[in-house]
Amino acid sequence: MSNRRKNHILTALGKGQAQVLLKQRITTVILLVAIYIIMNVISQGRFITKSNMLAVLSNSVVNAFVVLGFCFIFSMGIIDLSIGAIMILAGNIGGILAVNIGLGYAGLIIGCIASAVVLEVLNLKLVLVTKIPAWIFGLGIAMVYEAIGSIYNVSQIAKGLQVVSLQNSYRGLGEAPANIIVLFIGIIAAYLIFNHSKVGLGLRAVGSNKEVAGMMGINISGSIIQAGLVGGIFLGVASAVNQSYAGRVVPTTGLNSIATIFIPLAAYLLAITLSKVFNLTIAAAISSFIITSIFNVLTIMGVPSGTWQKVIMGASVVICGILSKRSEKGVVK
Amino acid sequence: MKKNIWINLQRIFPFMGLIVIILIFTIISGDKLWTKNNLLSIINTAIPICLGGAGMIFVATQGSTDMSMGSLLALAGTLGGLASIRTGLAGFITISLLVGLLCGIFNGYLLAYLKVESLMVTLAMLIALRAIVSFITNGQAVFVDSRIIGLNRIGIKLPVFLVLILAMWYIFTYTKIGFYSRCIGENQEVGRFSGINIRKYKILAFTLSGLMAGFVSIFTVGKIGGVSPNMGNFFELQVMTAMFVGGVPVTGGSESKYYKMITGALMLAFLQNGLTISLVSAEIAELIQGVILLVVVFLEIFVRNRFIQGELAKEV
Amino acid sequence: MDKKIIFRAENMKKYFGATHANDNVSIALPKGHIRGLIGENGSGKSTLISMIAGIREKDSGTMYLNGKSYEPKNSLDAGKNGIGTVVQELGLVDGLPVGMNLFLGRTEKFEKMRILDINALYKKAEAVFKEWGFSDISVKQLTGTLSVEQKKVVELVRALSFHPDLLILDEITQALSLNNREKLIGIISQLKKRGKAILLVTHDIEEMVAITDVITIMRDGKIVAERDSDKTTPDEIKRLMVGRDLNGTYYREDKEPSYGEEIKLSAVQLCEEHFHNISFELHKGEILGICGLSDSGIHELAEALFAVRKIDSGCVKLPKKNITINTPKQAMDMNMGYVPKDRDKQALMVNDSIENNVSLAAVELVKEHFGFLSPGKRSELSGKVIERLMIKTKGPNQIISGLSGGNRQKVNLGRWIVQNKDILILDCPTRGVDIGVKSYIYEMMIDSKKRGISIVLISDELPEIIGMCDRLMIMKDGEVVKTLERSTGLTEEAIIEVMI
Repeated sequence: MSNRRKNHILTALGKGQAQVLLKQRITTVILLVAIYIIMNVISQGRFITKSNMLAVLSNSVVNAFVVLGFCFIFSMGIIDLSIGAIMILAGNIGGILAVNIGLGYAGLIIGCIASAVVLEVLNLKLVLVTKIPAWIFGLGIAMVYEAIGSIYNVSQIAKGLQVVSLQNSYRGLGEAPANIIVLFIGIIAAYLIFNHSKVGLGLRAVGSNKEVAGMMGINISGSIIQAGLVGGIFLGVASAVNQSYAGRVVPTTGLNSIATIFIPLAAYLLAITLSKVFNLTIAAAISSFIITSIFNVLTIMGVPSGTWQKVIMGASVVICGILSKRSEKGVVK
Repeated sequence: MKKNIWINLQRIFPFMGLIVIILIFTIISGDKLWTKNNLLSIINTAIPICLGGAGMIFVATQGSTDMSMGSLLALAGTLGGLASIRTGLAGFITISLLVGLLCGIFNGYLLAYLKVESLMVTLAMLIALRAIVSFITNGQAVFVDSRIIGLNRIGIKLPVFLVLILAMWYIFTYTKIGFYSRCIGENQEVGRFSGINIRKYKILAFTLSGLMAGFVSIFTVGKIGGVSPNMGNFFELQVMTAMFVGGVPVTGGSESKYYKMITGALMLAFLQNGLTISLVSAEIAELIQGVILLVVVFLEIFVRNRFIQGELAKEV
Repeated sequence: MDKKIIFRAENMKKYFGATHANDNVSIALPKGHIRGLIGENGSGKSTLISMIAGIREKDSGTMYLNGKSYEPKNSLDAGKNGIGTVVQELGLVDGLPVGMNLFLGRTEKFEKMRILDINALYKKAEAVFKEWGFSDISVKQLTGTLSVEQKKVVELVRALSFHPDLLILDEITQALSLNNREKLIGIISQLKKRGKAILLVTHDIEEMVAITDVITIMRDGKIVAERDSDKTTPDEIKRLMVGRDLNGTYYREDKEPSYGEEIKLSAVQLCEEHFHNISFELHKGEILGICGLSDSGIHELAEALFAVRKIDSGCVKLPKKNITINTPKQAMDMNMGYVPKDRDKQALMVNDSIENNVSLAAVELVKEHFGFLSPGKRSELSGKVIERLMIKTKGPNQIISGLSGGNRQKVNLGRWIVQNKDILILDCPTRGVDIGVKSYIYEMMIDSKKRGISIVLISDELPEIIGMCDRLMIMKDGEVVKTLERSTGLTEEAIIEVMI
């Protein structure tokens, strides 16, 4: 008798939790809508227009793909700071294959994805083998990747040329509607891999509790490499879209490549906060859009991009970091 | 027996590295390395790295990271430089140091009270502070009070440097601040159970790091003779490389020794100078520095895991 | 034993440093048999179970399952071989839904081309929960959001889902509510009928006697007795559990409480998540014992006394100095010393030298002008610790990780002893050390008491509490249930009665 009653109560509890989640989702959406309305008011109605929203969505594509890549790599506890350098290098290799070798779109896409995957997997493999803390490894290897890109850059300049440029061809991938279509395919793919594949399961198990996962027979380093492979694909797509959008990407030196992953980093930290309410991959897409929107509003407002926008960028990384720590605490309790 | 060999090897490893680098460049560049002017330029490179390292070693010893040092020194130098136009040398020095100090406290506060990882906080500060600098300078070089340039004389620079570096050596090696920092890096939980106010010492470490950034900014502005928006670009990475190459453990703890930081700074100064006088291009130089950083950190971790810890555990 | 043996372990040995956690343990479990395993903390029962479950590697010994040699690589491997376990060391992955946790590591049957058929997995998981009568947990829920009891149920169902020939349950019943406990007992007898074996560990001796067929009693890493459950009594089991050859020689000789009038420390209405309304007074030269099961809040209370743990309300006062202790630093300045429970994680920097570890507790003592931490004073003090406690080492520069557990504990305790602190808070000071060091630590405590030092001794080892304390407080579920004075009539059985 008491048994049955307890069962009943617990089932109700399960349903109750689903309701709580639904409520949280609705609250979050209302909050987001409110933020967008406020941003629209601030920008005197220039923010929420059809063309501007489309522009924001289009601009968020590259960031969203980088954040999705982070979801697979950073979630394993590996903060790889060389991802910016990898993307620059991958973009150039893709460009060379597309233009200099003449492989067209296929060369661009395959070149970008293949090089990003190879470099990212190489990174993870080396981190696992050498046991160097991931962030310092990322710094060191970023110097190496940057140097390789710059050596190519300098050699081109010496010949009186510039780094590979797509000129006016192969630019469609970086523009609407192609990039938006790619974005939605990417989000769906990430969602499926994260939630419905063995790679995703291993990644979530190892990322959440390495010891138990190992005890239950999950191959930890195998899972990390596989997750890196998937993450590398997303980074590759990001650099292909970026290359197509920008036409050419000039290699950086002195670790300036780290600055290129700053906006995605803020978005990723925000995604972690939102992942309490939405699935992480969905949260990643949403937060990329939010962060891109914020910078769009700042630009509309005439905030100078080199200075105050960067200050706000730094502040948003810290704020998103604080928020993500808060949400972690909530889960523990 | 075997254990002693490895522990001693690890101790002299940085010195050996330094000697090897000096030997290599002596051979490659011939006499160019040992000219008076070149030695002076090596000292000029080493001074800011040592000073920066003297501050950052507290942070690194606690197992944290300070990525903001380069941007911070730019901001400190810029604000100090602007102040110098009205208030002269005294204002310049006061403002530079004050800015360094306050930003350091701010970093430490974010880390200690809001529990954000130091890497995130200081990376964000790196971008944000640099942006403020370019807003203030509008991307242009700014000229400052002419007396500041006088600071660049080796006769002034060297004594100030020596006093500072010795003072920091004392604080790091012989006072509670250094001792507790090593303990926090070793095991923060043990520190907490032993009555250490973890937050206080974390903030203190970042404060010292910021303060030293302030001192470096004074010398840097003096050297340039004005404020440049790019000054101190990625200075923190040079300092970090110097520390890690010198054998300061990446994870901090009791193996963090002051002499390792100094040796590392000298190694880096000789390396950079040697690459320049050997006419190696900037890209190749970056490549070599990256590879050296990775290899040395790897060797340090490898030797400790493979030989030293295993042997220590067997003893008694 | 004419019945067929399902599982047999022979001559199992396991060392942790100097401690012999399992010393030649042999156990055999026949078909359709429910075995109880009981012993005090540190008796080696958890070690034995974790070796069987594939969580820890054995040092030596052989295990047979269904007549074949059995060498589990990990917990999953143990499960696949037919041994399902619910133990404290193995938990769940909080970041995964319940259903995925159930099948973690063996999702092959839901995979096609590396794609997981999540719906099939959830459906199967639901079926498994239903099969064992626990359909009240949603398989899609994130494990991290479950209550402690629900998590235990998930672990139980996971163990059962292997269709184990041997089911090992370590301290599961405490976490379960009454009706889930009944359900579990139903499952156990069902498995027994099907000819499976069950190995059960619980603190509840009455329950154990009621459920099991045979009870195995462990003490100090050895099996000391096996009793048929229907021929024994809880009293006999208790006697066997504690009846070690400890006598007066190594504890205090006197049987009367003795301490001064002066109150050195008083705790007033301390409240926190793990304990409620704790008040007591500690007198000069008194050894006050606080005992209870490890989840009764005793360790948390120790942390609160030294202000390492924040309390919600109440205060720790030093009446004579009229001071309230709010931070660990303040406690140290007020001449308090603290030996925390976890020596290697909370007390000592294991990769650092003896000298640095000693200095850490005595920074103010070695400090001179300008904050100078005198190397001379530091090595003098650590030399004193080494000499006074006769620590076997090469010298003060010895790294802690090269010391045995006993010598580590001597450093841990000695660094406070040499400073002549007024009040010592000792949380399980003799845990994991051998008999020799143990008696040495007791000697130190008696000596300190004679010099007027007050000691709070927190322990779950009853003989030591009875043997050393002037007064003892028994805690249960975060509350003090009884306070007793030192007397000859004090027995472990009487205390266990109140504790459990």
